[in-house]
Amino acid sequence: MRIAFFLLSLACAWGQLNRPALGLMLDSGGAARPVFGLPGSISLGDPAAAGVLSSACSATLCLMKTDAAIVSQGQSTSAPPGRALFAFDPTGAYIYFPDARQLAHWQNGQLRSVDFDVAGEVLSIRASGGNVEFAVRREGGIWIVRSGNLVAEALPRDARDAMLLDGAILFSSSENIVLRRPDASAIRFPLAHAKSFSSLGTGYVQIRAEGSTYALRVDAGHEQLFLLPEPAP
Amino acid sequence: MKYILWILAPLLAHAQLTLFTVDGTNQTPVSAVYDFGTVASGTTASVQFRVFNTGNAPVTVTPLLNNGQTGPFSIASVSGANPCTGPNGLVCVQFTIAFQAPVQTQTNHYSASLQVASPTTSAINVLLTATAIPAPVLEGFPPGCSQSGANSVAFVQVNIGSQGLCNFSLQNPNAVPVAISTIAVTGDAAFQGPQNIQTPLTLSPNEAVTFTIQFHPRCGTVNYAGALVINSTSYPLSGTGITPPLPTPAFNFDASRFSSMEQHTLTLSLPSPAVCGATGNVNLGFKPSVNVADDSTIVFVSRTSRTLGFTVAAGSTQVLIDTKSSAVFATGSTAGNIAFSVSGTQPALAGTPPSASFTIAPTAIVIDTATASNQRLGDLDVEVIGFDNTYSAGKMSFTFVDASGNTIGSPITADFTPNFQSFYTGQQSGSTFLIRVSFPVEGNQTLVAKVTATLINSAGQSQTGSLTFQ
Repeated sequence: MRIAFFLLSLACAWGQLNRPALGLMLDSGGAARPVFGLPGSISLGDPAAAGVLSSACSATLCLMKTDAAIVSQGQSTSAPPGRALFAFDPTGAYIYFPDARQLAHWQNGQLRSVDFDVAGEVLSIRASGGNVEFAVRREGGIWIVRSGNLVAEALPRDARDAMLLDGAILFSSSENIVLRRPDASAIRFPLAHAKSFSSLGTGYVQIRAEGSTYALRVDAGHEQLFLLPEPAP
Repeated sequence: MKYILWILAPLLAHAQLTLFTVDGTNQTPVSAVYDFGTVASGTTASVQFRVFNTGNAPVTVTPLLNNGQTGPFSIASVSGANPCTGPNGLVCVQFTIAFQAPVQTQTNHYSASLQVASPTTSAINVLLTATAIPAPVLEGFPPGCSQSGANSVAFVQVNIGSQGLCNFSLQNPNAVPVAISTIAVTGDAAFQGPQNIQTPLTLSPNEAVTFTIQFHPRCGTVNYAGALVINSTSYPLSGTGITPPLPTPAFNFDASRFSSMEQHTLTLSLPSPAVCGATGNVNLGFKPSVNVADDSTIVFVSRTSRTLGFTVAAGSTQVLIDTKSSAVFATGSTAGNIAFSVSGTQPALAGTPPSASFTIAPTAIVIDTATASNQRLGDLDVEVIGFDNTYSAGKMSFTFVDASGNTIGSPITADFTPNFQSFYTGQQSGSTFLIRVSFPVEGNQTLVAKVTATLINSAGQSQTGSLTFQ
């Protein structure tokens, strides 16, 4: 193929350097802190916000839930009290408020209520093709459902908690956490008593277990569980 | 010692009052003289007296000793039903007289007057006598202990976890027998005994008995004080416990080879159980082998710290680091030497403090992820996330390929060394980087299909593999 009108200029090539950022972690003191580096060489930044109950980051956006607001890039939007579950989509994010059992869509600092019909305790949400999928705990186990209680799949009966990821499901059992892909392949990580999952950033999940904070790298080919630092006292 | 002589009334059975001594349930009428007998130096003999009203009229009774003057005799515990009526067999007044034998080394005699008086009857007057004799001689002797002054015994120092044993001799130096009613240990529970002797006993003139007392020092206490009480004489005991040193712990790692960008676990173990609980610190140190001051990401991760406290429970070989059985540390992203040490142990270590170290070798740039983007009009972007533990990155080359797989021109080289040096200057949080290299393009940039980037540092070169522009 002929490369017409194509010109690369060595003189014009330029490089921009930054520290790689994994995302935003919730430290044990309730502060949201940026996490820099790579597994094995992690450093924490100064708190981005205090009194944060939940947080999540996509490649371009971080959302934090305080007791009564959604905070992003210095902008605060009133929201139902309590923690929140997030699911990013191309226009913003779906946000579920477990205490109020309300679902909303956040876009440019505005919250719009979204109707849904799902029974059970919602553990996680995921945006999928314009819809929202829910991981719900019901009697008999954890199920992945869509609004209207349409069941997509079930998790093993010993699953204790679950998080819906882009292209994977993460769930915990008493001694392990399991990353399951759509092709049913699964990677098992030994981690006992994992009790909460939250989004750290693109490709990373924050996990609390027995007084320690871990991160799981979930992007295919790079799966790795590692300990996250807590701020020095 | 002279007796103090008193003019005694001719009869003890006065008109209304009678005086008895009480020994348990036995009552004995008191005559004009009451002798307490021999009392060992430093000990006390006590006698209980009772007064009865044998007349018909009520009477108020007051016992008085030496007209109220003090001495080795003393009166106490006066009780009764004053004024008491009679004769009904009820105790009118009851009181105790004690004779405290002064501490002395020879035999002495003592006396005092007891007057049981009433406003309406004749008083009862009794001469009280007592003979104070030297106390039995106590001696603690080596090897378990020694005299440490007048009537004091010091145990030799004993390792905590072991037991000290002191042999005692108790001898009666008097020409008369001495009754030993009690031999007991008081004070700190580290002193236990006596063993090999039973009381009460009577020591014949010049007779000696032996017995032992044990000393069990415990963790957390160095100096101990107690007393050996024989009859009512107290002999101070002292002892010192020696805390055994902490067996020197050994470092154990979950791997034998270490590289940058890893997390590993460290455990500490003792070769033998710690006798006492112990505390200390385990330290991590890092010395870069490249031109950078430090890498703050090389830490014990849980607390972002290079020092963690540890504890050992008494009787255990397990060392808990920051309350956990192991500690996770990160190897960071800088070449150099990571060393581990132990400090501040309480108690001190039995041997040379342990140490361990390993080298993080310089490596070619490690590429974590790399992507290529043609989404910006007029630019081709190549983004690489990785680390350079030599801090010498900068030189790169890029080979572009068209959709047919043909290389476009020659590889383009670039030197971003100044950019990297500027990026690393002043920061000590490791060598991880995200570099976005942009190539301004004229023409149809979608004709460029793929790119391979080569990154070079002082340890070698690395390639991204073929990245598809998308």
